[in-house]
Amino acid sequence: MSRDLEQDLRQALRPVDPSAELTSKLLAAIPTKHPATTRSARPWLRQMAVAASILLALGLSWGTYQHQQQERASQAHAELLKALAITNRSLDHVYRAVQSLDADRGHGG
Amino acid sequence: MNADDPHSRAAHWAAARAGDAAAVAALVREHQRMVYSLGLRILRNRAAAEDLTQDVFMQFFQRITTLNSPAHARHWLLQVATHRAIDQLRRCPSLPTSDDVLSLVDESQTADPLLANRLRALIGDLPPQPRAIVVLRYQEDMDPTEIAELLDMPINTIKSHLRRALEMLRGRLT
Repeated sequence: MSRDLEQDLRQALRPVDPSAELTSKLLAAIPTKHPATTRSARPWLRQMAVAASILLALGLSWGTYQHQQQERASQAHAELLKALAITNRSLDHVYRAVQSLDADRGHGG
Repeated sequence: MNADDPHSRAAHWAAARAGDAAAVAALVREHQRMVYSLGLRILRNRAAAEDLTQDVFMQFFQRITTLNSPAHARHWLLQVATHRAIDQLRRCPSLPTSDDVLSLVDESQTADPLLANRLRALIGDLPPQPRAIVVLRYQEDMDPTEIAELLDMPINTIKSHLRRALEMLRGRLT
């Protein structure tokens, strides 16, 4: 017996190669490339798509905002015209009333 | 792949994690000997060791994206293979020893082939856990601290198992 038992154990327990058949089975069982790799092959395409989506969303928001502003302006314009028309009619009434009073005084004197 | 070049190794590892079949195959070739030998030395049955090796690598292929580095992958393979072998041996303590298991080694590199065969036979007489500890210590050249961490056991328990195993072997060899 060798005096160095630990060295003898290292020799006795040296790793053993598996059979070629087992190696073939292991290699055959490797899963095929998953889609993550395909995606990563064209990362610029995804970035472009994301950027285009953001731009489209911003454009739509801006368009909607502009449209709302225009509608509010038109509404305000119409209300102003209506108010002017009412004011005009009121002044007209007042004017006629004053005219009528003046005429009554002229006949009475 | 140049195994000594850290950049090449890192690139290869990244490719394997991304699912590159050639890179995964390189990992299989690198570690199959370690996993198979662990199974063979602990179970002492060639068919059971082959089944264990296949099962461990099937699980490895599924888990590879969760492993952080080549060192982590090696640690994971060692841990899973050892635990599986111990569990299987506990479930089937009467697993037959394959006829050629004791001599499955390149005898030209062994100073004393008869002694090596005798040692392998005696290691097979150890209970599952001490047997696995001896195999990790002398097949994989792991120190007791690494074995304790791998098997999640106290370092003193590992040292105690190793000491008792060496005493048994010395006693049986004289």
